Amino acid sequence: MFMKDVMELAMNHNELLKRLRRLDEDVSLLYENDERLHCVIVGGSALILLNCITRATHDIDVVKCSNEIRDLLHKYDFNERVQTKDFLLRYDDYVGRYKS
Amino acid sequence: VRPLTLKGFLKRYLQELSEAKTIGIFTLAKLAYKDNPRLRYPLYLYARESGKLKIFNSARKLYPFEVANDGKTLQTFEYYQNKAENDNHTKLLMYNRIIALQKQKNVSNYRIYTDLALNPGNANAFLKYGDISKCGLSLARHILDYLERV
Repeated sequence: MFMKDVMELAMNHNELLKRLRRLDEDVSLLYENDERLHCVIVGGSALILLNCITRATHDIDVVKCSNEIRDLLHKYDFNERVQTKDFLLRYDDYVGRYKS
Repeated sequence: VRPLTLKGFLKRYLQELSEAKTIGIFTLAKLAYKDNPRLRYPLYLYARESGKLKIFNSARKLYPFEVANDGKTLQTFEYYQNKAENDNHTKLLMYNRIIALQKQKNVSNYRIYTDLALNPGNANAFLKYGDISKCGLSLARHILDYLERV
């Protein structure tokens, strides 16, 4: 097996879902209670998941998440070092920028 | 499987990030300087790992940019380097859940591998001895789904 087969660096809609499902699977195996945990995704991956854009991305940017899943985010290569200044105020600007 | 090296990873990573077919340091430094700042840190790491720091520094004189740890490149490398280990960890978590459900619902190994038409040898090695090498992630998921439904 060559590295090319192991590494799919850019993620499209399906690969993003696959990565999120893996995270969800681990969380449900680790925490058997019904507690609802959260993870807020922003940036290119969020727009891909919402079908706003079709291109692939290399990052899954997370602005906020439950403490219980913080270690797993690192394990599954989610990026928590996100600059969030004025993010919500500039939503349209972000969407426009990603679409162009 | 060949173990993934940092240098090998960076080659692919730089090619993907730059969309260039080359991993020439001058070409990438030009892109890093002007259009693609995300290349800066991985390019520095690549130059360091492949013993081309002198070339990298010469390129930076021509195309000056700062290099700072982006906190992302090495995390992505770790993710791909530890992918098999992560899969094994998930399989182990699944195994523990499978055994608990088996006891709780009183389902024998025989019933599992006959109902799911599994290879008895591999299924037994996994279910009886916890040998996760005999069971893929999707198969472990399949067994777990079955036990949750049964």
